[in-house]
Amino acid sequence: MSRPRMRRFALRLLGVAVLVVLWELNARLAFYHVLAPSLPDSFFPNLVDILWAGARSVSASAYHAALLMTVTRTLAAFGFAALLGVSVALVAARSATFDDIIYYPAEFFRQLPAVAVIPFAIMVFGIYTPMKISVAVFGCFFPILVGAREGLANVDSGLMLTARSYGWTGPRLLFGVMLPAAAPQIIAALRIALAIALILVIMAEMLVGVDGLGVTIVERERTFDFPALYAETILLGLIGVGMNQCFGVLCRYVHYWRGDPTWRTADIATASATWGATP
Amino acid sequence: MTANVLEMRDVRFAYPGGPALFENLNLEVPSSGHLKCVLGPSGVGKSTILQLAMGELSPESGRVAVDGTFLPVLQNFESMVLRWFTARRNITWGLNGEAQVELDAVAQLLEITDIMNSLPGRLSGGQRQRVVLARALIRRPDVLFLDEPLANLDAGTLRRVLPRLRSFLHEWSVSSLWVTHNLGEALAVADTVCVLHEGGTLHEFPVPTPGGNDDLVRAIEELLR
Repeated sequence: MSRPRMRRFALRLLGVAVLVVLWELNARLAFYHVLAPSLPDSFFPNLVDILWAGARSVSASAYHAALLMTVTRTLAAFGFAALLGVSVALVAARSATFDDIIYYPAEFFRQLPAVAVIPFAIMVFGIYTPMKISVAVFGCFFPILVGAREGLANVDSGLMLTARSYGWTGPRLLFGVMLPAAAPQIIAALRIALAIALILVIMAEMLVGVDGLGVTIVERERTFDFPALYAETILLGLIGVGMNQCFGVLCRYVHYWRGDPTWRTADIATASATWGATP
Repeated sequence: MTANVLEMRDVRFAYPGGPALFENLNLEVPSSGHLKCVLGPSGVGKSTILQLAMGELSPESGRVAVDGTFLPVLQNFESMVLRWFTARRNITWGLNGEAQVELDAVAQLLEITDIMNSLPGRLSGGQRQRVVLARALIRRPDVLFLDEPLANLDAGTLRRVLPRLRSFLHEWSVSSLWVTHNLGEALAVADTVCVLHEGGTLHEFPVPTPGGNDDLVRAIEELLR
């Protein structure tokens, strides 16, 4: 690792270290009593207790089942919303009539907080997995639609002129020209939607809990198991970071032309053959 | 096919809210490999002629007719590059496998053989410009609309490429309307050089041999002053 990169990495670790030290000082010296004198001492456990509680959680099979359930719901909702959002955006990009028809509904529903549809989703889907996935799909769909629509609408006019001149139409135009040209905006929208999906699944689990990580966290709070509460909250954050990192790796392959100097010519040729393979 | 692959007759054109750029523009490009270069000072409407020919702009009056297939290489060639494809795929995308022989010939002509497996993002501007030109050439349209198509090439490469390109276009019977502000480039490649003046008046000069002669150069330079 080069010297500037090491320095950046060290500075980023420093940010984490500052948070850790502040927490530990607060836990051991009880600074929180200044703001909330009535809080019990157990409310801010020290880091050793939190780490132990975290170790207990991650080694428990019940936690594994909850983790699997939450991640599956999140990925299912994200995948479905991505497919739907990009597809609708593609149709809207090719049909001005359809674009006009969906304009006001899309503008209205994307401003509506997704949690507001939870009562409706309960009535329609019940309280189990379909309800949680549907709420997350609702929350993810509109950011993806808007981002993809913006990206597709702003494909360079020179590129569209080229496509017209060369007679690239239909799937060739969509998959070989428009989608890759709009990929940066679509990927940005998908990245935001992935975080929203996790938030909404956890929220739905907390509000109407049967299983999943949202339920386990609420149970920790109800049983005053604060070390486990904090540990599982931190773990939830790490799951979000992990999903984002995995998405970043996937993006490196989908958006390979962004300029990764480590890619070999053979990799590029293979990836290049993937886009626009449909025609 | 008629004798001309592009005909512009009595064309009047003005950009919205502006004065007439062309009052009475008349221009034709003969078919079967004729190379016509348009020279002129900046802002006189050289690129606008190409836009009119491609149908991207409409004349207020007069007639613009293209008889056959055409492909453009714009001055803004960067926007014509498919950055997610290698140079090879940029050139051949949409063609069948038989284009390979022609691809090799075009790649050698434009000196891009070594970069065929590279992504455009790793190429220089001049290399990307030649990839765009190669993509148009390999399809053998009836006419090419070229707006400063080799503007980003270094002098050495330009000297080598221009005569070969001229022979190639003649051999493949691909006519061209080539806009440039470089007189040397125009004389090296063109069969006819046109000097465009304000209002759309054109002075045409046949170029009997590549490079022209001193009298021709003097006459054109006089008009360009």
